[in-house]
Amino acid sequence: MQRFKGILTVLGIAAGTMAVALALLAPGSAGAVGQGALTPLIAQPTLKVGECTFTLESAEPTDGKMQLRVKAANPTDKPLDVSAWLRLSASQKTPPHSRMMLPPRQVWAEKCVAGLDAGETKTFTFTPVPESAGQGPMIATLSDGNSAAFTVSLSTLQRVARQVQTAQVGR
Amino acid sequence: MTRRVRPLPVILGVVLGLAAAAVVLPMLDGRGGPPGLHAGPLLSDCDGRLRDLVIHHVPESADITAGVYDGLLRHLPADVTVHVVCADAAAFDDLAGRAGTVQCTLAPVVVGHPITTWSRDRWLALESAQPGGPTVLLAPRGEDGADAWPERRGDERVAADLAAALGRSVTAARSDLYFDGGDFVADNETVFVTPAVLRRNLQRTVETREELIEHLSAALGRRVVLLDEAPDHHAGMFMMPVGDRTVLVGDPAAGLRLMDPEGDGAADALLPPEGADTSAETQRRFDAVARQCHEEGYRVVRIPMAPGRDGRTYLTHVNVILDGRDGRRVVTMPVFRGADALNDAAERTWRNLGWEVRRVDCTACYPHFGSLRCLVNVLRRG
Repeated sequence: MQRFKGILTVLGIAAGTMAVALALLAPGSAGAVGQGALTPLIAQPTLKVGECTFTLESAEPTDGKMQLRVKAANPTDKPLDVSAWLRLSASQKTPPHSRMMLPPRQVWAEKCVAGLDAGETKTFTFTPVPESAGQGPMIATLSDGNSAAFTVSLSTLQRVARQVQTAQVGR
Repeated sequence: MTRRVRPLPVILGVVLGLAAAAVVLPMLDGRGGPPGLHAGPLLSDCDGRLRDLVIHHVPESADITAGVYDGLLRHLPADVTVHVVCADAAAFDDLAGRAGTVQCTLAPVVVGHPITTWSRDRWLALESAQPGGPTVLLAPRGEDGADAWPERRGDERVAADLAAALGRSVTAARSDLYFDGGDFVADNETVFVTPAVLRRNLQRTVETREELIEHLSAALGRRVVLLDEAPDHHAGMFMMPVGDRTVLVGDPAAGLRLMDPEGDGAADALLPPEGADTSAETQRRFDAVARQCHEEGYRVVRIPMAPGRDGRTYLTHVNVILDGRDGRRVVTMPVFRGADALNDAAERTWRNLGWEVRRVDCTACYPHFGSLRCLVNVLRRG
């Protein structure tokens, strides 16, 4: 009887250990398909140009005008000259039966050129005036002018900015 | 009175538990589905015989789809089942009434919410991991435009709807990644992926291009070729693998020569609203796809094609459904009224590759940015 209890104890501990290990280590964070769409995993996108990092920080409207801030950071111990393009595109109205959205049209662009000392961070502030009013959500693209780029909707940027502000107020 | 805990059973239990977890963990492949979900590779576009297809029927969009479905269903043999996703039973009755007598089986999947007519982009079909196992429908993380487009919001649920309707033979999972099903074309070795997938995921779900390729390779179980440059459209609009390590890639210059031999803008009327795209930049993007496929070890065959300047309206003959059965290879190919020279040249290209061609009139649907393959998803092949 004592031996049977001992075996049960070992098996119980083994089952518990296995359950904890699987819960912690099992891959695949995707959920069942029935749940709603998920939000992006990376809240605040960054672009690496060479050794420099550009962060698109905020798109909070000021005095009714849209404002974008790009932070350029040089984490190295030597000075760097880098540049990146910030572009705004406007979604176009999509006909009701369409398979996909029309490609967004670029309505504003400006180049951020930064000469950064070792360890220096600079912030660029833009108040873009788009060439034409968009028919749908606006999309910001930060790119190195070649292949590296990311796109993010302004509404997402604004949501992130509000979350950052809330977190700072809460501190 | 206190009970003494003896250390030996605890240590033994922990060791046994960790050992068991180590055995089980590799089975949880984490391929975009809940733990324990097993899936084989992404279904090839050009290998095997068609068994189960999925279309969406929206009576309000029947002007766009009726001719396409009529042409497709007439061609399908008796051993094919077409699952018809509909918002309600009346919609299925509408389709069945329009289809008339067909050899294939039409099976309703009534979902009770709005949907669009475009089945292809909703999910990717992953083969079952073992014989008799379930097909896995991998849905994207989210649909573009779902916030403001109720039908597109409904589309997000279709993979789960199908899994619920089709019992144990189909399961559904949601990927961590954003994509449209049309962003992928595959043969039994390679999956070709559009740059749009990188744009939609970089700094949203993945940090780098390499991380995206790693995710896709694990999820799709095939070698991933992420196109460096390509026309800004779904892959199935400008390229198609056809087996034997051969891929068809569109050629706008060849298409224009056929449609507009006098150079007087005759092609423009067929590509509303902005006319034919004759730009060197667009030609360069098609050529870049051809070059990359060649560099990946594929024989590339160019097929005449006519893209529109709006970047969405395409007269394309690679947006096809391929079926291999009884030693024959059959392509169901879209054709467009008023583009006879282009239709005939495309048919010759397919025939030269050993495919028997069946034409389906897609004149009504191509102005809405999609064609035959965009309306039809393949759930299973035999």
